[in-house]
Amino acid sequence: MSYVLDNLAIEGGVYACARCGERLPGDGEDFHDLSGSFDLSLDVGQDPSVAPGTDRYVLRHYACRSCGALFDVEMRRTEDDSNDA
Amino acid sequence: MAATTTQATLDPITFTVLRHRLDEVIAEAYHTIGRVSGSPVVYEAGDHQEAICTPNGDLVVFGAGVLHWTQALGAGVKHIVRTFAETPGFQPDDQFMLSDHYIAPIHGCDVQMLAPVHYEGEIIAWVGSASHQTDIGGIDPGSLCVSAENVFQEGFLTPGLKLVEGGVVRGDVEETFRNMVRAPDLGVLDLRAKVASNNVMKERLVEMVEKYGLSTIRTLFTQLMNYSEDRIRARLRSLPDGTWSSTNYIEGVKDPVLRGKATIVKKDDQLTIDLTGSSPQTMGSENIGPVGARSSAVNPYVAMLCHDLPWNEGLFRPLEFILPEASVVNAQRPAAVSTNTPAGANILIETTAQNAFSKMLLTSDEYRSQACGNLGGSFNIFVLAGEDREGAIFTTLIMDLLAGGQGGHPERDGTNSSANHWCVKNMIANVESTEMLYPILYLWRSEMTDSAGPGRFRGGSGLSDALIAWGAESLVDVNLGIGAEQRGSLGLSGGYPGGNTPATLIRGADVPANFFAVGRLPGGPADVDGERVPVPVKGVISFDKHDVLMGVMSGGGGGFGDPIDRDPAAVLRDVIDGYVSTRAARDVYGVVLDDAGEGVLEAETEQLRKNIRNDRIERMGAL
Repeated sequence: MSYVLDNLAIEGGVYACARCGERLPGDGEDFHDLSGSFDLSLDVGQDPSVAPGTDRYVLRHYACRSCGALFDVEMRRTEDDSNDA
Repeated sequence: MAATTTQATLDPITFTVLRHRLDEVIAEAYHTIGRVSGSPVVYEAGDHQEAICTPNGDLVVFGAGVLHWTQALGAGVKHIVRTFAETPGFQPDDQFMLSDHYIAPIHGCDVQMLAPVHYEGEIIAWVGSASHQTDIGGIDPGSLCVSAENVFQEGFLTPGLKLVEGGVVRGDVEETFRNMVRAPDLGVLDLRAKVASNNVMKERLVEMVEKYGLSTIRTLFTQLMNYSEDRIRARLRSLPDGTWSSTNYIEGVKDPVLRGKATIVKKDDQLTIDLTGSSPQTMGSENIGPVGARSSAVNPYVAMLCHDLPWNEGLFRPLEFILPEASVVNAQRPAAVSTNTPAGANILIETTAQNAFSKMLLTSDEYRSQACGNLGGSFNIFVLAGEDREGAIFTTLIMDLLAGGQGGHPERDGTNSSANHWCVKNMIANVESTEMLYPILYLWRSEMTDSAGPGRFRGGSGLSDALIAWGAESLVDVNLGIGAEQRGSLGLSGGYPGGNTPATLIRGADVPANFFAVGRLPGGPADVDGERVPVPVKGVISFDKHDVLMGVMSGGGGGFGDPIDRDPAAVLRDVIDGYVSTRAARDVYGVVLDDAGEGVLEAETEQLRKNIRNDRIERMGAL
């Protein structure tokens, strides 16, 4: 199994969570289209004195639906739908 | 396609000796420019680059200075050779000045000096030196023109001017330059520093030719470029084919958001860097021209894939570029471009390309350790101007962004306040040097809690500065920032981006009266009272001797991996060392500390991390 990202592996063209082994449903080249996702505020983890409190951007999280392991986090403008490969 | 040819080659020992000798020539030039320049931006921050080219402008060797100028220096030589061979022509000991950012330099401040190297009446090579001039004129002090809407407002832009003729500096040209810039003495000295650097390279090359013969040196040039090409192509073939992309954003002067996108397509031993998806060109000055775009994109490529190979044109032969026309990454003249570096399209290209290259490297067991989160994607540069203590006009750059936090790696944290992605040998200027030369006093320069991007391996910490006018009634700050609203140092593989980097003016703080007069120093932002005014992320603001200019100068690096996979003992160490707050330890890393903040509560930590995972699953919805 060759690791694609820290918590995501691929074998035989199928993505799977490297933590729990759960296979991502469906097939496709971009795991972002197959994994679960949710958005959090861009301010997560920041010192309140520097956090801008913006709603223009979010931190989009891609994670395993089975165990919650994080695959990827992207800063995304809320009006941009596309993922990065 | 490999570069192997049937041309004559040097034996391995001669080849190795001579290629390292070229490295030493570049190193001597690097130090020469630093010794002659009077600008801390050059001699301390290291904002310069040197190169030796073939007679047609192919890069034979380039130095460990500013990496995103490498292709630009070659492009500069090619342009001069193509344009001025007939008139004014190239005579021994001529040197040309080039600053037009649609031709070669990334932006006009990065003035190039380019010189043919003659031997027995024939041009056998070109040498080039570039450095950041603190001012080349234009609408804003420091010539990083946030107010410019076209190139005509961006200062002294020459497509090629013979500054040195037959070894003599032309007074008419030098005086014209002096007449058009702020801080002219420093500006002229910076030009002459590049002339000196080129003279060193010329002399050393001629010495090599005299010792080893012209045929040997020509063979060396060809063999060296082929050597690097063969090795990088082999490296590329060893990596899986695929496509990786990354998107990032910056604040613009005219547009609230400018987007950059880089897609790396790797097939066999070829790489395509496609910047499609980036924003249309802007009326602000964050645009970049095509040479600058290519030169920016190869910066992370050289640093991450080629760091252990000889640096020359051969590395670039496997590359193709797709640059969307009339975009912020391939603007059409006369769009303004002077702030593309450090706070414009250059950063969009370098951060997205670096992130996409990192994703590619993660697929390789051999090169995985080279992948990392971004560094240098969020920062502030204060371009300060006014009258110095003698009443003369000055301008300088506070370039503490160069001490950014590195990105987290697959096997280690990013180093703290240590690096920038485009300046290999950079340092931040000595506080004492800056205070001696300019009417400025630092109150602090310190690492920032929670500035690092969280991750299994976190990014390095960034820096915060505060300074006051000292010996001047008032100063102007042309602020160049990224990251007041977004977090530009992207994380990798589940790591979070580095923190925001706002700047603030505290009006009426009167530090001399409220602190110095009673024998105290302010310890940090919370100590200083006054009206807090946000400094425009890109804009001009004045302040007087009663005010404090404060900013997060260098953002933390992007993190690597899921923060709740980080070793709790490492989180505890970070809290004790001040890199992570107890709040972030709990909320982001899922680590619960005891009341004293000296130990990890293991059962509570395990439960909190379980809760965080369950919260994520709940947010995503059922399978």
